[in-house]
Amino acid sequence: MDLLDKLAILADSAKYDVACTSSGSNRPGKPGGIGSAVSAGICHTFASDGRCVSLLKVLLGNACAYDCRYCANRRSADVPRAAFTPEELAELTISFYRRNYIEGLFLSSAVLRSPDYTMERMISVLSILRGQYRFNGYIHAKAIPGASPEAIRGLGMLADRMSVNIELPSESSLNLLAPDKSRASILRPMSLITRGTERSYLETKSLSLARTPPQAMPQRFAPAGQSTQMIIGATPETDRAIVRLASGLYHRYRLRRVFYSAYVPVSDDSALPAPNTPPPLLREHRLYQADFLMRFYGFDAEEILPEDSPSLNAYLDPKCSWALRNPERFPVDVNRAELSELLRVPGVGPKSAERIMTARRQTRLTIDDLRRLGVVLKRARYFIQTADTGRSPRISREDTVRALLDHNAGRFGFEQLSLFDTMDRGNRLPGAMDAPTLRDAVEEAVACLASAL
Amino acid sequence: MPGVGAVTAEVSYRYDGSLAGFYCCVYDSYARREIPAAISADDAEEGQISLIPERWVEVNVGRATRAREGLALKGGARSRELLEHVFLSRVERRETALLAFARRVFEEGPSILERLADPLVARLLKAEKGVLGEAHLLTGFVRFTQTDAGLVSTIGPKNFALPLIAHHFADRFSGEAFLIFDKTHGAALVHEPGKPWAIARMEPPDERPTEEETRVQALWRRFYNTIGIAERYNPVCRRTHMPMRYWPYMTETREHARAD
Repeated sequence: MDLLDKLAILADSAKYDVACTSSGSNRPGKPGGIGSAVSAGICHTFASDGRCVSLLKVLLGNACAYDCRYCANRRSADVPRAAFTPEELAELTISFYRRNYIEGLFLSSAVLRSPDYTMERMISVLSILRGQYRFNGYIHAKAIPGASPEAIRGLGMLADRMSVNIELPSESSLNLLAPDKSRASILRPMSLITRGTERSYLETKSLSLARTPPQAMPQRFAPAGQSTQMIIGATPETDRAIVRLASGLYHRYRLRRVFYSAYVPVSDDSALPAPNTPPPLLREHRLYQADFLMRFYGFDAEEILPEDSPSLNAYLDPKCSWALRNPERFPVDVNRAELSELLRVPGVGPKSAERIMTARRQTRLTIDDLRRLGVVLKRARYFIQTADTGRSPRISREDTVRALLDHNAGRFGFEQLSLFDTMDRGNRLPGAMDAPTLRDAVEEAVACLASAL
Repeated sequence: MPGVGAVTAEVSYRYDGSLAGFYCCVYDSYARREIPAAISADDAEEGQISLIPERWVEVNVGRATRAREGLALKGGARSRELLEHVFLSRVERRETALLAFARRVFEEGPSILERLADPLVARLLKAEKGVLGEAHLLTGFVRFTQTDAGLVSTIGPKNFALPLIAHHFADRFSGEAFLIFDKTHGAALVHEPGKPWAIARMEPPDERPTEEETRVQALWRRFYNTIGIAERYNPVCRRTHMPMRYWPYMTETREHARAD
């Protein structure tokens, strides 16, 4: 098969994997080698779906021994099959990297014969890159569920980041849809990687405290840590279950990222959404917002979705939702509040909050000052007190709610509203069935949310 | 430096457009106790016909160094960095704003950097964000073409970002001979293995691809066109992250740019 067709097949098979970040490693170039890594990561292009392309993301091979029902590459699927040779893929990576098309390689694979055989092939790709080509750029490698500890160790010594996909948010869904995978076969490699990265970090740390010269430092194990992803909307788990699971993964396994992937139907299977069901993109978007609140804003899962709220709100982002549920926390005085309190204000992000902390050392901040600082006031103004405003925010409940409504929600398509649980603290929010147009649905939602304030 | 008693003068400074030249303008403004009504670079179109008398400011390395070091001494390295970043931007009346900033650094010291809501500081920080943002995008969007002479790239940035991306590329591709030509500013970053990088004025380079190059470009386009998920097609999101002004310079979007 010609390389062009092979690349098309194996990129197409890899495209549902979400992670394409190249962050977490910071490494200058090496004399005699090629490549470096930048801790913030670099996007090299953006695909037609708007996603960042940072790495050459391909499968080593797509002829899978497993038969997971949600997967486009499952054994029983009727799709063209192909595999790269390790030499071929290493050469392709370097020829793309030299032209600055990519930040490095994202290597994943279908299960070729067995988990360990697949891992062996992946290790040989990475060995050629790191050894023969002296490639010093970014590599993300996917660990195959069920792989042996030795294979995990071998792959991790050559990669910057590793990932094991948790695939589905609950064990029962996994048992139903992925008969060859078990919860244990996923969590075991995950915890091996967590421990490997931590041990290697501590080792390096103590050696550097002992002033070991850089050339004598041992190779590090997956220095950019690990990530995972799960499929959203293929199975019945609630948002609350998903957010709690993600929170557990961040705390127990120290994951750097959890990715959420709206399910795109790939087969006609009675256990799965029918073909042509649109992927739940608005729900995925809300889950990412909730995820950011946990990673950068100091929220915990219970605050985002307390026990009586199984579902995120279709009309409001989760931070606005929290603010409306907790009116006693506002207004926040921007001239006195702690950083953690500023981060709770709708519309104020980590950068704005830092800027407020700095600027108020020199002057008492007014609304105009905030505007010049670049704080977006559209939503924030209902929740803050400044040097030139009194204690009570001067607004009607309806205006507040209207300003908080996420106007991007409609962009995902009217029908997406129905993919949420419509109960909000005893009030019923309109779904796509309840109103003739999006505008009517929004008006109804405003009235409903305002009455609950 | 003597700072007190400076008055706005009916004079406009003209200099060679270099950073050293600009620092000499700062020096002169102090030496003459005056704030010029305008400062223009030799290659700028605006201010060609001026109603007020013009003074040519000669580059003098000693004076430039004194102004440059004085700035860091008074305001810290970060003040100087801000000034030098904004100097690479295309903010309106750039030099006048930067001179005003330099004078305030000399008067107020490093605390000016905390005055984020001050109109002048806010304006400079915004301009800096634009320059650094574009430099970051370029570390991803630069596309090299393999020619017989080495790797060649053409870019068309708004800001003069070459000095900000030079180290990144020279470090990453230390073993490669490469050239990045900035069409907007008529200059290029040139690197040879084992030598320090350099930026020089230059004519457009020859970008004739080798045979192998044509094959690799086809592979890259095929990858790019495969990786997008049709069910998630989102052209607005793509344009937000990758503004269309970069498209004509990128291997995978060149043809889309032409079609639009």
